Amino acid sequence: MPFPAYNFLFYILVLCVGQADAAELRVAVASNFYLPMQQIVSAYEQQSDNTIKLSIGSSGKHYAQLQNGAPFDMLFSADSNTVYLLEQQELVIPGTRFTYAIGRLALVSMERENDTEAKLGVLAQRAGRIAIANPMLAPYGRATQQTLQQAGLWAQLQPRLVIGENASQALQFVASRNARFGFVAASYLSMPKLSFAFVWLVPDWMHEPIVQQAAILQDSPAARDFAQFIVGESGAAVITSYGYHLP
Amino acid sequence: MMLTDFNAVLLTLKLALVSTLVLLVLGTPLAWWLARSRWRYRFLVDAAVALPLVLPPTVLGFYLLLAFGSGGLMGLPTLAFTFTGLVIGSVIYSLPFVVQPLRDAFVAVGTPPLEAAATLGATPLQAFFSVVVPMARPGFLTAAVLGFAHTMGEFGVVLMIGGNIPGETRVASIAIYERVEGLDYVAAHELAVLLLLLSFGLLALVYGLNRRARVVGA
Repeated sequence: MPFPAYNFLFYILVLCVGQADAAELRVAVASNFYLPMQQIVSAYEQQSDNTIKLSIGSSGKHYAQLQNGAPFDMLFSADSNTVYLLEQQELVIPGTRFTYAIGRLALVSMERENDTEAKLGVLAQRAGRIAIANPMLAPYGRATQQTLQQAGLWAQLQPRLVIGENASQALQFVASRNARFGFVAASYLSMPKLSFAFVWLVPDWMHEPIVQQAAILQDSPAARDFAQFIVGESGAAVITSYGYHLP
Repeated sequence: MMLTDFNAVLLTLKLALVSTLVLLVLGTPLAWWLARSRWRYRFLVDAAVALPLVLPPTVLGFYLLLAFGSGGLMGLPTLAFTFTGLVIGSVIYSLPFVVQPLRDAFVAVGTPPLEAAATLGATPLQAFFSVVVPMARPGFLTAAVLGFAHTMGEFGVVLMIGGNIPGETRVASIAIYERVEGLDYVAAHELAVLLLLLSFGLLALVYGLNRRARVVGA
């Protein structure tokens, strides 16, 4: 009988020693960056003892939670404003706010659309709902509005718009075939189980840049290390592979 | 308060009213069957009726979205993003809140009054409307209030299938959520207080009426 008890104590000891210099980071991440972030985290955890726990959510929710003491070490927001506001309230470690990616917008459909010269023209030619992220809440929604305004289609298409709370819900509306078209984050185009019949990357000049910023909220060597990793070579490779531009 | 937010409250009331009426029409025969049936597998139906209590509303909404979308595959226009779609979602979401009080009220009425009515020559339908309905009136009130109130507080289902269209699917809970997400906490508070007062007033009114009804009934 004494052996299992000794074993148990031994494991406890090993666990304690093993974790002496390893930290656990809690990282809040915007939904459009969740896929690349998972990939970056698994690459990071292979070369570091630190572990990272991701919490997916909208920037607005993370903002409200952080104002009320949410225990996140880092925030990767879908925009720059949320991080800026948190910085104003001194909820961010000074000097740690940085841009990690510039988002790209894509127009997608599950149905084959005949290629036309002016790709946005397809919206006016074909009937059906158009899913967009909420322009008041989500940076991809704001960029969609600017794009459609730029093309002179915003007023005309208004009655056909359905509003998702963010780009990920706009994607859901299209993927479930409830909306014919959708403006989504280009990062979703790399989702393995999703195949669109029509994809068009919106040229960057049609909307203001979607500047996605991050910051450290609770300072630690591990947080600084992970921030370094993200902006470093392997982080950047993953970020660009999901269709983002680098800052 | 902004007009769009006020309209969202009106839409919520309309959704709750329509859904409650549909639920009373569909839920009454179902509750009656649940109260009277001796079928040995009746418990399975009881469990199915209670399922919306367990299932997270966003999950329910997600499957409704998939269901509506699969209709689109057959060339049917989707019910997502429409008021009708929200009513269907609400009816499923609030089903147990209407069926369970009705079922319990019908069980409480029991068999003897029905036998008496039958002896006096009443058809089952006559017996139901002139004996059971008056006796089960508190049950109907409770069912209607709970169905109405629960639909007013509906959020997850609408979030998933609504598409946030003003006047059509942008109900009060969605409007509050949008204000919170947009960091406009003042507007969110105003809407929330209005919704809270309305709901409390309504619940207080009906429970007050119900209390009197019980006293009269006794």
